Amino acid sequence: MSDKIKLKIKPSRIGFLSNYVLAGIFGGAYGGFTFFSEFNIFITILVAAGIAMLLLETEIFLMSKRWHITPEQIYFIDGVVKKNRTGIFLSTMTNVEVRQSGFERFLNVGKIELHGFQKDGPIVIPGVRHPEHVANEIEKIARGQSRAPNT
Amino acid sequence: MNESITIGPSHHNKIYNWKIILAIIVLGAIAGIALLGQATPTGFFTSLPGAIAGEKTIQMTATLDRFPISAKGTYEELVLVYDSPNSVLKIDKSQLDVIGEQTLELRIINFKGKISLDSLNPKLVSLEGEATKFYINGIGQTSDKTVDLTAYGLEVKSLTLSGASLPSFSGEDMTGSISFNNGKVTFNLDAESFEFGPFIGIVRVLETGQVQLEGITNYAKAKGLNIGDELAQGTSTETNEPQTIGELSTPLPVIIPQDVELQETQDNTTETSDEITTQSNEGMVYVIEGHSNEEVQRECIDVGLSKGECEDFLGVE
Repeated sequence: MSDKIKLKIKPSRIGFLSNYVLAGIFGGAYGGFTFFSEFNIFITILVAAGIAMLLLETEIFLMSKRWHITPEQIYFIDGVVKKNRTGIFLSTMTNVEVRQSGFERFLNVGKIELHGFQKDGPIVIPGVRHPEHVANEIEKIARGQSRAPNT
Repeated sequence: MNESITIGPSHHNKIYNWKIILAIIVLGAIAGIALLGQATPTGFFTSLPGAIAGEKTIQMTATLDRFPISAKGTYEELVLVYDSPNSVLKIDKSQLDVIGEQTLELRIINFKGKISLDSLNPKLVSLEGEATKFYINGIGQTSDKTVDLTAYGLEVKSLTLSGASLPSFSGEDMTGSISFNNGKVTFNLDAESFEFGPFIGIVRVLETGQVQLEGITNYAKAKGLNIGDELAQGTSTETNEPQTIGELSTPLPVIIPQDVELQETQDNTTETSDEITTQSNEGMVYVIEGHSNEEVQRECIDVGLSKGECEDFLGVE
C-alpha cells in the first residue's frame, strides 16, 4: 500500500483546541477555588483527572488515527500498538465536503466529509489543517489527477 | 462499511457529550464546595487557618458567664482571694476565716484534689484536697506532712488555677466568647450549648463573675462551630450534664462570724500564754512548749491561729 500512497492525512493538534480550552477552564476554576478557599483533596483529584482525560484523549487520538489515500482506496489506520487498517474504494465516493465553524475558519482547521454509497454515512476526517486544500487533493486523486504526494 | 472508519456526526456528538458532562461535574463540584464553604453560618471553614486544622491541639481562650465543672487532679498553683465573712477554709483541723474587713489571698502550690465551681455562680468555689506548701497574704506556710484543705461554697473575689488539667466539658446555655489560635478565629455564644475536649491551661474566675479559660484543647463544638478532631481523641464528653459542686456531699460547716479585731484576739492569747509558759516570750504573742518561737510565729501567729488552734495544729497535747 505504501508505494501507492498519494496523500497522508493526520489530525492536527489545533483541531483539539476545545480540549485545551476546557482543560484551561478547569485549571483556572481550580486556581480561583484554592485562592479563595481551603485546599480540597476531592476537588484537586477531580480537576486533575478531568484535565488528564482531556489531554490524553487528544494525544491518543493524534497518535492513533491516520488516513492514507491511494489512487484506488482511502485507508483508515487506527491504533498505537495494535493497528487496524480498513479501506474503501474511492470509486464509491460521490462528493467531498469541508465543514468549518467560524472559529475553525479563523484557525484554518476543519473536517472533511467523504460522501458516497456507504450505509453508515460519510467518512469524516476531523481536525484537518488547510481542509480546502486537502479536499481538493482528494478530489484530484479520485479523478486520477493527483500531483501532491503528501500533505 | 466497517463502522470503525466512519467517524460520523453521531459519533462526534458522543465525543462532545462526555466533555460536556465532565465540564458540568468538575465546575459544578468546584462551585458547590465553594458555595458550601460560604454558606457555613460562621464562615468558619473558610476562615480557619490551615495550621489549626492540621494540629492535634488547639489554642483556646474563652470568657464565659459561668463554668459549671468539678474536676479532680493536680494543680500547679491555686490562688484564692476572698473577703466575705462567711467564707471559711479549713486547713487540717483549723479554720481560716476572714475577720473584719480583711482580704485574704491564699496561694496554694501543687494542690492535689477536687475543685468545683458552682453551676450558676462561679464565684462560689468548693475545694477538697491536700498541699504541702501554701501562702497566706504572701507569707509562706510549709509543713513536712501534707495539709488537708477543705472549703465548701467559698465565696471568692477571684480565683486562679494554673496548670489545670480538666476533663472534657459540655454545658448548655453558655454565654460568652471563645477565640482560637490567638484570636485568629473568634466565636460568640449566646445561651448556646458549648463543648470542648480535655483542657490544659489556666482557669480564672474574675471579679466580674466571669470565667476565663486560657490553654489548649483538642476540639471544640458549638452550634455552627466544629473544630478539631473529636473522633481521634475518643469520647467527646464524660457527662451530658454540667457538673456542679453538689458532688462534694459533705455537709457545710457551721461558721460563727467573729466580731473582734484580729489584734485584740492576739492580745488575749498573749495573756493566756504568759501563765503557762516559762519560755522567753519577748516579742511573741504566745509561745508553745516544745516549739521554737520562729516556728510558732511562722506556723500559727502569721496565719492568725489562736493558741489553742496552734496547739492543735502542731499536735501539742
